[in-house]
Amino acid sequence: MSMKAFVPLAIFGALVVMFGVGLTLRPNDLPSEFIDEPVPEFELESLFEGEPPVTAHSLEGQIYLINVFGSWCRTCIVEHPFLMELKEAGAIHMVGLDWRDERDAALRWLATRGNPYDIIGFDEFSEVAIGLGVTGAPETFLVGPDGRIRFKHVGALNEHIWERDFLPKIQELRAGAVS
Amino acid sequence: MLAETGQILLLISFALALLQGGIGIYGAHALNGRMMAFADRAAVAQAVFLVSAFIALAMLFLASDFSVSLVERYSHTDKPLIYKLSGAWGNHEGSMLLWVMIVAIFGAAMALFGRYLPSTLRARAIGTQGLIGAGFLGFLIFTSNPFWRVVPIPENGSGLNPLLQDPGLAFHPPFLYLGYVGFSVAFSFAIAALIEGRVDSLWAKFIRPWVLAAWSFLTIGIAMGSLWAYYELGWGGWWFWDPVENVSLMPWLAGTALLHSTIVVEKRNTFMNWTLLLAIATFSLSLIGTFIVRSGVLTSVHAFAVDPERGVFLLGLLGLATGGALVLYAMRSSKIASTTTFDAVSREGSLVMNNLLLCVATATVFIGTFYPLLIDALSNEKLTVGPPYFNKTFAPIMTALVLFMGVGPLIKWRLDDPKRLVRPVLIALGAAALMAVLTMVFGKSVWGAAGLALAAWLFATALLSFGNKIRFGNASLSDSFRLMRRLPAESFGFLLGHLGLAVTIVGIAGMSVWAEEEQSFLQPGAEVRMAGYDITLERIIDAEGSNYVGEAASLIISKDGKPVTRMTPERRFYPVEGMGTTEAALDVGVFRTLYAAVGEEGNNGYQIRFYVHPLVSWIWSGAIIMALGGFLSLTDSRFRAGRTQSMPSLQPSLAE
Repeated sequence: MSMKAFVPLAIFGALVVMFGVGLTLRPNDLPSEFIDEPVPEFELESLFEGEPPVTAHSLEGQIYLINVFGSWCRTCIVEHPFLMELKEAGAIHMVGLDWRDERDAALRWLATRGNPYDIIGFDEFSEVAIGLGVTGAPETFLVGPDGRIRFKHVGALNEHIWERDFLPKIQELRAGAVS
Repeated sequence: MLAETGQILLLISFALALLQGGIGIYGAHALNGRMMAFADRAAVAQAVFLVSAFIALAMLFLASDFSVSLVERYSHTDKPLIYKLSGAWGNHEGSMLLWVMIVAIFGAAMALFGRYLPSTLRARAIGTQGLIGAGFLGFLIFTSNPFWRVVPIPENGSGLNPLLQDPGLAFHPPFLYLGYVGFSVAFSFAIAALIEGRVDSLWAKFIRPWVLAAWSFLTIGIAMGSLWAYYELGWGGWWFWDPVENVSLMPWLAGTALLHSTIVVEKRNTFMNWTLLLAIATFSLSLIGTFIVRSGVLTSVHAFAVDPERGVFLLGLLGLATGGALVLYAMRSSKIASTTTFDAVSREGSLVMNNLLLCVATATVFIGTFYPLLIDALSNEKLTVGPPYFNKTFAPIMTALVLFMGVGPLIKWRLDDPKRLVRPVLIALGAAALMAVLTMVFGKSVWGAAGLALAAWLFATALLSFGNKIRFGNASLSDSFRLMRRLPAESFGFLLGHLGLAVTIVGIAGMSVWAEEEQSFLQPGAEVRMAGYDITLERIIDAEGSNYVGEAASLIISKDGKPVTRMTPERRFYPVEGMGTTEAALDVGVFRTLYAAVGEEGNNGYQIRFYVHPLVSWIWSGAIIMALGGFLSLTDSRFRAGRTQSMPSLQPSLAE
């Protein structure tokens, strides 16, 4: 029996540990350090050329969503009709973060499917996405009027998640803003 | 009653699978013929029971029996018949039932086709297959039971994600699973060989057809998934480097390496430990694929429910199967010694290169897929790796692989004289250079020229190697023809497999370099010129199906005043699921595919997107040719030769 024969086993053991840790991480949970923290400072070009840049303060004072998407992202296509519903109902303001994308592809994507966002930042090189701890698209952050992140959802939004997770927090924020 | 019957069938199969594993492996150890024969019969019976259970689930879906929770969640009375049926496996529970059914079918096939194998080897392999089946049956019964009833009985179901209501996707999982699970046979035989402490050419000869079959099915499965993404997701991309795609590509790459390394074992009795390790790795990657898609460890993007409890169970199964196999490997592999060494300039030397590059390619995809998870586990920092990583790393490795793929088959076994290779290599380089020049002149693209030259190189070298086998040019035409008719089926499989990849490369190059797309807004009756074609929006028609409403744009396409075709892209809305989809219209051609999609109605009319995709159909045609090559190789008479031959040296010695 040579030590060489144990190499595959050792590699696999490391993998299992990684998967095991991965399972406990629950990627759907916002790492605690982000909760109630202000949106990290950033300034991004707008996806639409000629429009003013998008910053962490663009929609300050309002309750809004930051939605990470990309024309390459399959689940975003599934999520998109629901975002359009939100927009049509005037439910909330939205900042789009077009992530790791090509400008033309993103513009085409929006032109065909409709644009649910108020403004869109073009994050070609993950400058903002890394700061926000984005792990994949789509991902949605709820930001309060004070510019602090209140909630994060990983994966496609739908009516169920909206009513369960977002609406109560939005109502709380609205009540807080009035009082 | 059907649901309860299904439930009972699952439980019986679980018991049978455990017995098949325990009694089969112990029987081989104790050299007890009756116990080993029992494992054979248990394997066949388990397959019969699980096929019946699967039919029961399909019937529940066809009958829209909403008292069964799974049917309620994924079906609806208004769904077309075919999607009621595909609903049976278009969800987590149903697809896991499909998975265990295929494990059992392969187990039964091992019993039925393996009769000429040494009885202990067969019993150990079938026993291992039984244990794999038992693990997944346990997972199915205890965490993902497809037969649970729901009370009170709902009036109707909640439907199936409309993106999944598509013929391409309906048959995508079965092919994918036939591939994934097919590699379990190689795995089981690797375990059996490690227990026995011997690997020989008979062993390689027996697992090769199983690897070929699994590889061919997986090729088709991956191609179908990519084709579905191309026409359903609406903008003409055909590969996204999504984790779900990557985990199906990894077993394919490793399986391709295994396919080639078994040739070396069979022909030259060397490379044994490596082949065993590859067999273990390939099936483990299939298991990891299942684990990833089912557990939600990677934040991917699938419609399937994500449940950490299932993840823990699957990780446990992966740990037992792969961990157990590698412990066995660590303890026993030193007993399996290669009998021959080999030279660098030889067929086996070139196959080492093939394996090395394929493993590096697999590792590249693996790292790109799991790096974010690793960083997260180590530092809690979130990172991502996108398509640019894969384009920069995977493409050069595959290019190197294709260059070697050209030379490898030209080299003789054992030892070859490099001088002999000069002539064919020059011919193939000439073909590649000619293609590059032509592409530069007509296509005006350096990358396009490089891609097509690579395809031409592969094409030419595959034909030259095949020509060598039939002494084409060195013998009279009639002699060559006679030689060709006597060639084993595997030689044709080789030709198709390699030519198929060349065809796919042509498609990839064409799509990456020359795809054109334009969009405009059109009122009914208006005409516009896009990407060199004249497009008239004739009118908008209502389109309605049993479970959707929508509208279709009737387009007339012409070029230079001559009518080309009519296309009717649709937009659909599925009320039950509350989702909309875009149904693109395609006019498929050999050299160009036209792709039209209709968007929303704006102030200036309907938005029409129009794409001209040169050579795109070659991508999937190439995959089909590769898979056909694999299936054709299966008919090779040499795979059946062992049945009539007696191999006295391989009989288990009773004195042991």
